[in-house]
Amino acid sequence: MKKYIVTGLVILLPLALTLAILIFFFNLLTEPFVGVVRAVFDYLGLFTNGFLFISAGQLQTFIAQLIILVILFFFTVLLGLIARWFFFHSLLSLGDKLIHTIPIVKSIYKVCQDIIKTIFTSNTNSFKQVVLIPFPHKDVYSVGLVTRVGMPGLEGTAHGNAVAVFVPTTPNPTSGFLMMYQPEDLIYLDMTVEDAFKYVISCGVIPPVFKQKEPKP
Amino acid sequence: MKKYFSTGLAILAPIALTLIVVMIFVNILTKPFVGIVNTLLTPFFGSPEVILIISKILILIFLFCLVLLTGVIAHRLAIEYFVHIGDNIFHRIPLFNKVYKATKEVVNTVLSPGSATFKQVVLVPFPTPTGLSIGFVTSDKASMDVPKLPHEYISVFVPCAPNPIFGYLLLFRKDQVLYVEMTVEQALKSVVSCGSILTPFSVRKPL
Repeated sequence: MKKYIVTGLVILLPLALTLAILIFFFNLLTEPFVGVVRAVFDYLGLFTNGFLFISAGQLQTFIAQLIILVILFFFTVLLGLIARWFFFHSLLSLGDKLIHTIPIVKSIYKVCQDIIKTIFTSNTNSFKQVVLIPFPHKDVYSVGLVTRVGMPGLEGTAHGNAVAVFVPTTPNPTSGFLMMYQPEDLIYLDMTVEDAFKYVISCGVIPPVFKQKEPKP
Repeated sequence: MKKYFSTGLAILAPIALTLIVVMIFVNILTKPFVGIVNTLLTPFFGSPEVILIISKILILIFLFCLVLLTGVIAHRLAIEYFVHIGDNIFHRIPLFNKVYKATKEVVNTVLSPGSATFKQVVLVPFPTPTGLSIGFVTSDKASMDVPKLPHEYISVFVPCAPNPIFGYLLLFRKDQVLYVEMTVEQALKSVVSCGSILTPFSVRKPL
C-alpha cells in the first residue's frame, strides 16, 4: 500500500507542482486586467453559457486570462520593435520625462528603471557570477551572487576593492543578505546562475558541481 | 474559575489548532477542483455550504485514489514505457520543461527510499564557530572542485524558528557537524516550538 502511494506520488507530484508554479505566475500576470476583459465579455454577451461542467464565470475568467497573456506578449514585442524607430523613440523619451515630473511616482519609477536597466541591458556582471562566500563565519560556505564590483566610497580603506555579494535565503530566494567582501575571500565558481538558483530553491537537494574558476580581471 | 478556564483551553486549543492546520492543507489540495465539482453537484443538493463540504471530501477521496491507482499501475504493468513517453512530451513544452525537470529531480531525490535527503538531523556550528544550530542534511556529498577546499563537504538546511519553511543553506565540512540520533519529526517539533520541546538525544559518530 505505502509502496504504491510513494510510486504514485513520484509520478504525479512533479506534474502537479509544475502546474501549480506556472498557474501562480499566470495569475500574477493576468490578475490586474481580468476584471476589465470580463466586463467586456459581459457587455458583448460572450461565453455567458457554461461549457460541459465548467460554469460560465470560470470559463470567462480562463478565456480572459489567455487573451490577456497573448496581448501582453505582443504588446511587449511591439513596444521593443517601435522603440528602435527614431520617431517613437523621441515619443517614448517624452513619456519618460512626463513620468519624471509626477511627485511620488517619479521616485519609484526612477529606482525601478535603474535596476531593470542595470540587470537587463548593460553588460556589467550584476547577478551573473556565482561565488562561494565564507558566511556566516570563516569555515562555513554559502552560495552567493556578485551584484557589484567596486565600491567608490571605500577606496583607501582596508576594504578597497570590495565587491557586493547577495546571499539568498532558502528555499525562497526573493529575500537574502547583501554583504561586501574582499575578492580574495570569495571562491569564484564556474557555475550558471540557473544552477545556483536550482540549488537554493531545492534546499540543496539538487547539488551542482562546485568548480573553481579564475576571477575576472 | 480561572483554573477551569485554562483546563478547558488546554483541552480545546490543540484540537482547534490541529483543525486549522488540517483545513489549510485540505484547502490547498482541493482549491483547483472545487469549482468544477460544485457545478456538477449543484443539481443534487440544496445549500451551497453542504455542496462545498461534500465536494471537498469527494476531491480528497478522488486524489487519494488517483495517486494509489497510478502507483498500482506503475508496479503491476510496464507503465515505465508510458511515463517515458509522457516525459518526452513534457520536456518539449517551453517554460514547462524547465520547471518540470527541476521539480521531478527534487521529488525523486526526496521520495526515493535510499536517499539521505531530509532524513539526517545534525547540529552545526552556526552562526559562530562555538554556537550550535539544528539542521537537516539535504545532500550528503557536494562535488567540490576547489583547490582551496580539499575536504568533503555536505549541504545543510538550517530552518528558521518557529516557521521552518524558510532558512539558510550552508556548506559544512563533514568533520564540523555533529550527527544526532533524532528523527526529523522530533527535530521539527523542537524548531516549531522555538526549542521549548526537546527530545533527549545522543550524538553519534558520522556515517
